[in-house]
Amino acid sequence: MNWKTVILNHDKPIAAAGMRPDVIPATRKAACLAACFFVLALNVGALSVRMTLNPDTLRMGESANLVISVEGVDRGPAPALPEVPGLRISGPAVEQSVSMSLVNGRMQQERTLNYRYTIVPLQSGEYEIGPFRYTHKNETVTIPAKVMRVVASADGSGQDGEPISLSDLVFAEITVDKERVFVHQPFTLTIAVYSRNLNLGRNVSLMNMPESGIQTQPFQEGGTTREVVRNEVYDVRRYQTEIRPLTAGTIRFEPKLRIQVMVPRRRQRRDPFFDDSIFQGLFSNMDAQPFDVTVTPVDVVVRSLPETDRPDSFTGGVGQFQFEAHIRETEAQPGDPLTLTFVIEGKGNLDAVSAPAVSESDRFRVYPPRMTHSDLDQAGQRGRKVFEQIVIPRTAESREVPPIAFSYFDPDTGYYHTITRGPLPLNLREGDPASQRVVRADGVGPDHQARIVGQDIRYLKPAPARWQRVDDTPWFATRGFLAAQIIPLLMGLAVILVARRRHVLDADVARARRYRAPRSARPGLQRAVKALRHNDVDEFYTGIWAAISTYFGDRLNLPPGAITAGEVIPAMREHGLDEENRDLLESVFTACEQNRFSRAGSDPDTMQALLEQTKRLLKNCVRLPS
Amino acid sequence: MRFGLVVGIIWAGMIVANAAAAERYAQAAAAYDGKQYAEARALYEHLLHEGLRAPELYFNLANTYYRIGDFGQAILHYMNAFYFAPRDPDIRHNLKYVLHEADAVAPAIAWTAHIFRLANRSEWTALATLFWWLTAMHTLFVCRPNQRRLCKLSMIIAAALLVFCLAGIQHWRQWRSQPMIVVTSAGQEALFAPLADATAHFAMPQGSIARVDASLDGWYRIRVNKKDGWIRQSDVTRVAPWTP
Repeated sequence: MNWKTVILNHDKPIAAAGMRPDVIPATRKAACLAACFFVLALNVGALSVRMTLNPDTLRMGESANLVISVEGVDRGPAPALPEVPGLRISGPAVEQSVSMSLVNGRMQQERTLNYRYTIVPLQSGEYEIGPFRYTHKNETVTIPAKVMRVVASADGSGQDGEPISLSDLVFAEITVDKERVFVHQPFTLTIAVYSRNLNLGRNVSLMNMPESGIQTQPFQEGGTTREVVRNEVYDVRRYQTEIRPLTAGTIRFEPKLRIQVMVPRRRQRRDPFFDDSIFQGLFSNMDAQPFDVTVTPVDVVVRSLPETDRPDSFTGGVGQFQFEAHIRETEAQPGDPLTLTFVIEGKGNLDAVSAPAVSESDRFRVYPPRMTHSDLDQAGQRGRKVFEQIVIPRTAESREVPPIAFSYFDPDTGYYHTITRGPLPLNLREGDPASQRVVRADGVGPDHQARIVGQDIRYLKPAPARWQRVDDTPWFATRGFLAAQIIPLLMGLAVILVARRRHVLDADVARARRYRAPRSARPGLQRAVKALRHNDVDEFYTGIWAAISTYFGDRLNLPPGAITAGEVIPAMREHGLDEENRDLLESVFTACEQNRFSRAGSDPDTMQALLEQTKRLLKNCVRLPS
Repeated sequence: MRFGLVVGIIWAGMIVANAAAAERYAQAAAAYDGKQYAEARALYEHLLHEGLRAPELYFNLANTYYRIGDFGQAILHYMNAFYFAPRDPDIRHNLKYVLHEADAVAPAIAWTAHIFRLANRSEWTALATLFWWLTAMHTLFVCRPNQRRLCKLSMIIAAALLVFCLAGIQHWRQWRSQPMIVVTSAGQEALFAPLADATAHFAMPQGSIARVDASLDGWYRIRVNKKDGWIRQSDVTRVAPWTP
């Protein structure tokens, strides 16, 4: 946010005239006030929008700033600029400026919203930006059009004076060294970016490359060269990678390149402190404007390896390989482990090549081969792999290790090749018969037991019933589950509180009785209500008496025989019973006793009044402190 | 109505995605059967690249690597499968078998860890939740005088089982805080210091498993059977779980 403070001293002429501001004549005061109101009315009522374009004439490869200033508002919608063919308009960046002014001793603020757009011409020519409408709070302002002129770059326009576009100044090509390959046969993909009279940034983003079915190495950037294309000299940057297809089919390469065109930065306004050529030289004065370049797609047909003539010893190698096999020990006894070493080296999908192997037979017991050394380049395409396989001769008749074959597919010739090494001679001597027995002991045992004749890993598993995704949140980490686990905690807390209260009440009888006093009065009152409904006088007074006797008995922890007005009233006064309630209490007790002992008849109205009095009395007593 | 439509679209999308994954999985198995291990590996890894996870997928990929002869990657993926399905007998068998074949070093497992590996983290969490609720329920009855003794006993049992399940969860959490690694490069050694020219301490053949104690500038300090050493991070790969 830019804050700019402008102080306008309007008092000065007044002071110069020898007058103090507080002794301004009434007519001038009134005029000033009217002017202020007029200005305020203007500020509030009218929406003021300005549009500036800087510069309005530029060359290809340069950019212009378009600023739309909306005055007198804090916030508002960004203007929707119409699309102009041939121009790329990016933004807006929103800035707010506040100017403060002192008018007649009063500080006034004026806020301005600036929407800043950057315009990069894609083609030379004359463009009209606008007119268009800007609406804010039901007020609409028409912004007049601005004209921008774009001329070709310094060395002239396109051929025959035709308008020149940015795509003439920068374009890209994609090429492959082979358009038909076999699975696992690598090929080179080259992307060349041609540019002239433009300053390109170092970063080039590559998008829309195939995501599956290929294995791609990181792109390597070659040096910059110069080439003549359509009689124009272009700077050419080349990026290369090696791609290995993993599945058969047609792969289409139609990447989109995002390059950065460096354009001179335009200053909106000159800074009085830092607008210095030294600082401009020290800091970058260029803006990187992204520009997407589409290239003509290239298809590469990937063929499966031929099924016909595929040797049994083929283990997936595609390329050109050498194969060697040798044995470390040649002199041994039956039962001694012998180590066979296989070396595969060359060019191709070496990382996926597996070892040839000697098969299990009557003469040899074998273990699966394992890789002991791997020296591959980063792409896994060139290098050397060493495998070892343990074989154990079963008898001394094993005079040689049978020939070992390694087959691979040569994509250049289109044929399978087989390299056979061996047989590898052995010099076995008869040894300790016990050791032979150990070797032959495999599977020898009681007839009812399964004969174990070999060891291997267990076979593949069927597809899972439900696939999990790597970004799935486990059920136990979901918010709902975690929140639900608080419930037992709250339950436990509640139980502890209840138990504690019960324990306290068990230990303190008076407190327990006091606590249950209101509840214990309820049955008596209900009994009285019911009796009143049936006009049963005796039952009514019995109910009222039960209510007050149980209530005050529990409340004051009195034995049943001690519940009389003479006992209850002084005790309740100690609890703060006022005069009015004391009278009420006395009258209820008196009414009950009179009726209980004298059996004086009562009319329903008297009974109803007594019931209400009793209820009010009990309610008032409940409110008293314990 | 609109909500139902959205749910239906998502459900249909999941069915289509699962069907595509199942088809690719079947292709990989066919390639494996045809001894086209490179192709099988590419197909299985493609499924992983698509963000799918299942112990079966790791198991089959490990088998494929074993057939290729890359014991390091095979053990790594058996371990990944083991993390998700530790009771699976096939995974246990193949892991043990390939560790033996590769002459690889693996940390000794304590008897408690053997017990905790009878269930995965998700299963321990489910059991812990069950015992947590049971313990809480017991508190409702423990205050009743006539059932107090019985309730107390069963509550203590439930709480003890809860603690045991929490220990099971902690066991698997440790795989995250002190991750397991597998040596995926051949001929490695654990060094006395995180320096390229430091003295070698003990051999870590390809496929060896270790627990990470600490990390420092591209090196892991590992612990195997009471021995400490430093190994380059680029020569090992971390076993599941991967997210911190």
